[in-house]
Amino acid sequence: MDSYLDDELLLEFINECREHLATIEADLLTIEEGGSDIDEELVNKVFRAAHSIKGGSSFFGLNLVKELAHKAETVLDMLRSRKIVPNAEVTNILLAAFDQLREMIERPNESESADIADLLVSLTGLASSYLPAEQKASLHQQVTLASPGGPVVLARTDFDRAVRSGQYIYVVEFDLIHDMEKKGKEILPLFNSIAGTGEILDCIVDMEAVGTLDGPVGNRIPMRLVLATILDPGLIDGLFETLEPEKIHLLLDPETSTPAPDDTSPKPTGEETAEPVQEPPPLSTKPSEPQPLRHEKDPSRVPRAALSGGDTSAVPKDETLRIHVGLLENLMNLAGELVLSRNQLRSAVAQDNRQLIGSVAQRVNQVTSELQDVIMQTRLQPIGNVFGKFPRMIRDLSRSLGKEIQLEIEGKEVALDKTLIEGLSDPLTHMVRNAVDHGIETSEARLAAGKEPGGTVRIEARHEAGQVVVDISDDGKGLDPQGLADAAVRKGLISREKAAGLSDADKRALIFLPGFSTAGQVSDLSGRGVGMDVVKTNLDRLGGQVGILSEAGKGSTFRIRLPLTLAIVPSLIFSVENERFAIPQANIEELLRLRPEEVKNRIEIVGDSEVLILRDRVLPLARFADIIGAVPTYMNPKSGAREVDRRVRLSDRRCPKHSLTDTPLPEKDAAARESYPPRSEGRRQAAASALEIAVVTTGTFSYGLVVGAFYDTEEVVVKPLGQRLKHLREYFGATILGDGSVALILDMSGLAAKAGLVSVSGSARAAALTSETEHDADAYALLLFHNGPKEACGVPLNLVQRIERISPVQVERLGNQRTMQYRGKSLPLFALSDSADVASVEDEEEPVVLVSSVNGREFGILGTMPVDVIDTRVVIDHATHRQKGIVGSAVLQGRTTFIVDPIEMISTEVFSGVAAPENARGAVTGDVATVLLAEDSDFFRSQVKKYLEEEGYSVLTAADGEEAWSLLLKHMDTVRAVVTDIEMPRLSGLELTARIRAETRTEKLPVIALTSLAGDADRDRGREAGITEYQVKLDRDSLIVSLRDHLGMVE
Amino acid sequence: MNDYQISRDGNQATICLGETLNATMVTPLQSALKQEIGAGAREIVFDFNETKYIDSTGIGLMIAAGNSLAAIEGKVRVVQVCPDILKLFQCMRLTTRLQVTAVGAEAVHG
Repeated sequence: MDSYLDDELLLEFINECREHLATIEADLLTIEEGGSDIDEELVNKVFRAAHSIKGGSSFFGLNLVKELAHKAETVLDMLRSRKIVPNAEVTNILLAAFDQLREMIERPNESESADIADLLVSLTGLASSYLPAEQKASLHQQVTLASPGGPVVLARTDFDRAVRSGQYIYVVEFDLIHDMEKKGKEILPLFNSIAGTGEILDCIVDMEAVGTLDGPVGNRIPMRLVLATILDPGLIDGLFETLEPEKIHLLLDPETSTPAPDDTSPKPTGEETAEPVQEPPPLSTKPSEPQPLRHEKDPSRVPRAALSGGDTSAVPKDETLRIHVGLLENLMNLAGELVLSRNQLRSAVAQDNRQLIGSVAQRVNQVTSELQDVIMQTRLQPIGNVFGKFPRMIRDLSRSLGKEIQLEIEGKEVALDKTLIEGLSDPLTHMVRNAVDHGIETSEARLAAGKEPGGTVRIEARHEAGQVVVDISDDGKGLDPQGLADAAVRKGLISREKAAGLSDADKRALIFLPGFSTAGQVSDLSGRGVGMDVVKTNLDRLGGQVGILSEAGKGSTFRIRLPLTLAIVPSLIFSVENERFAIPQANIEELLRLRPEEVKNRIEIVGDSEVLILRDRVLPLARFADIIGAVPTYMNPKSGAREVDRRVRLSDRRCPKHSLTDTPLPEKDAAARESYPPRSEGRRQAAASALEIAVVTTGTFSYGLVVGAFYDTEEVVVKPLGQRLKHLREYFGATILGDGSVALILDMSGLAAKAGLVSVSGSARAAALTSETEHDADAYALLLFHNGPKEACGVPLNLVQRIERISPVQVERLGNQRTMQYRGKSLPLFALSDSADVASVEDEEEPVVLVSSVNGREFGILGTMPVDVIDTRVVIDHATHRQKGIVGSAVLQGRTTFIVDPIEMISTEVFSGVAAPENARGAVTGDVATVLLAEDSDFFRSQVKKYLEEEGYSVLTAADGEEAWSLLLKHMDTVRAVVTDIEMPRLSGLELTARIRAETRTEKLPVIALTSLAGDADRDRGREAGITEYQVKLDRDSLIVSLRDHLGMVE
Repeated sequence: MNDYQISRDGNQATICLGETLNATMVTPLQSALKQEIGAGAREIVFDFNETKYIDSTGIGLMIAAGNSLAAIEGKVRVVQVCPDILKLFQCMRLTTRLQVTAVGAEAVHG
């Protein structure tokens, strides 16, 4: 045992305090200089310092430090709320207080004996002297509430806080031994629960009743607990389940009580009310009856006017507003009930539970939709309320900075939830200040840049797709992405390597990093480097997103997207390990389902993290179960049982050994994970289950979140998190679902922070992966359709121009030929059964026509619904189901699927002659031209070969670059062009091209590269290697045209 | 470790508690504490460095020790309390009466 660890902690605390105190003197002087024009941010900074010192000292038992810090904090709070104005007197006292704090913290051993009485008196006097007369005494004032066990005396501030926040106040009387311990209730969890559901305002342990060591110990510990909580009388006994209801007394019901009257006289120390108090009945009798209140007072010292409460002008306006908000909140709960009822109704209908439907319908009748509308309108306020302060602010700022700035405001009438309006004020103010301070140039600079001398800041609000969008634009110098990246590197916020790989958008987003500031000098207005990260954090809390549009030299636009309300949020419900959660719809970009065979190719490792490859993007990936510490399980398709998923990474192929049916998994048991072998053990085998992934965005970056299963979307009623969960930044709130279960609502930014996710766009590996995805050779984009109900078919998407749903009667038969009228012409229709032994689609009810073309002639393929498009990587079996028109088969979405070749399908006598072998004759020699085709995919190779041969070319084929090079050397005299895939084993298409260019005999040979998806970066690399042209795979017509162009063939 | 150790320095007795302070520990501890007070101890320091769990009877023992010492102008101190138990003492408003701190006796008082 030793106090080493604690000494270390104490030392850490002291160091932290030193940091807090280091700049306080300068800050206080700056605040004083500002006078009534208070820099809220600076006051907040000093306030936070005092607050941190108070919190830490309390933990270490440095009670006098805590008390002094608390008093200083009170004065700073009054400064912050503009109740007192900073002047020399205020500053002097605060400086003295912080000097004393510094001294006490440096010598914690002696701090308890420090003489701080004078300072405490000064700070208290400071606070009270600036209060309105009738409020001066509130610092000392107490409130007495009647209770059966004797009056309960509370600090007036505690009481007022409970009233303002709509909390109930209870006094609970019990014996810790008899009522709790002997009934199996442990003290630690008990007090954790109590503290988690409210605030313990007081706890009086009857110390004498406990006795001394001379008597029996542990016979009784009587106590009275005064608790402020949001739990109503119907719920409070759940907290004290071992206690008889008559031991819990309601002292304050926020729904029926009015705030305390202005009987604000200071109470003589230690004196209790002499007035008789009426005992409230226990909860079991009249839980909702208003309880009488008595406020501590000494009539001899209180002026009559104050007692009568007649002088209402002294009551600050914001307090009046708070009362109204409380009423609004109650109304809002009604609206919430309505939505819950609707959810329950949906659930009941889905279950076809008529009894439940009846009861829910009755409830819905009670709380009508009209009420919800009215409530929503009541809560919505015009955003112009926030905009109102900007004209004055812009005028003052532009004068002080010597800039000419015009302000344009549009969309003042756009309505937004009141909570959002309040929360939006600070971020908007900061962003407008930034626009004025950093965005708009001086008149001279603007003239030099060829602009008007006066700049414009524009604030615009509008509704867009169910959200409110607020743009803060300026026509200033814009954000220089490289300048921002350099600044971030200089400040050590990111590495130079990472900065080099960032896109311009990512570089601009660097200004949201904590500690980022590009201002050469700290200005009075902004640029302290703590601004934009706070803006982003605040907007995150509001469920909003902020993005940047900027062009160097032309200006910037900061775009804020906010939900209309925070009370009801459209959300997607998903589950993980039998618990359900909600993701706000606004954060969802798309949903993915990766089949087991796709996992390996779509999930890769960058650094030590997993990433999701989504088309041409590489996104960080997190498994939600890991973030919340749940033991992951999956459904074994073979056994149908849930088994522990021991994959370390999602891309692992690992055979789980532990079936949940064999070994029941202790649910919600943190130790469960340890009771199973580590996931890093075991041999690699085929993955057994698909992955459900939500691609979500925080506004500045996106990531993939692996969940268990997706459910429906619901408009969820957001309930605030309780005390015990409030510190969890990964959750935005909670809601009650239609079936009555509770679901936590995710905060996507907080979740990303908790998971340690960062954008991977800057890493070389991610760039390589992006590059790979752009020209991956084995990816197939297939359009899936059905021939008959049981015959799934796929056709390369590139070969389909359009999909038309038709009625069976549209199909006309003329002789042996099927046609339909299509865009004023007759479109020949073909069915797979025309060329292969498969079911007929003639009589199917939901026919579709896949419109394709060959040599400029359009034709249609008859199929049936459903139709789907997939990107996949599969091995095509060219043998088992090979027939005319069917090049092979593959297992797609769990079904054997025919891979259809439309060209082969239609090349019957009916549609013959489309190919023109003469086209492939050389213009000069008249010889048939030979094309060397290099392609490692059997499917693509056979398809392209066929096109070329139908065009009259002689085709040499190779399965990789090396083989192609050998063939080329062998047939150098006849090969006129090379058509090559890029990604191939042994020798890639780019390497093959490089060899061709390096050899004088072949350097002029046209090389056409085939790719599934050609990105710009891909094309650039190809050009560097000497690729003549890129063509998309299976775009037959373009490939033919390209070959003709490069070979100078005759038409 | 579920036991306790007592050390003595002048009129200060320090009880280093084990992981748990519950009803089963109370009877032997009560005797030991009485013995220390009888031998002249006027300050009893409960060292919670190892202690992760306390029950209601354990709280009762500490209050009883405080009451016994208060009667003879002595005092109880509780040091090195882990955050969970410290929070409990704070909730019960016992931190001042039992002089409860998270740090060691040496850290604050030398």
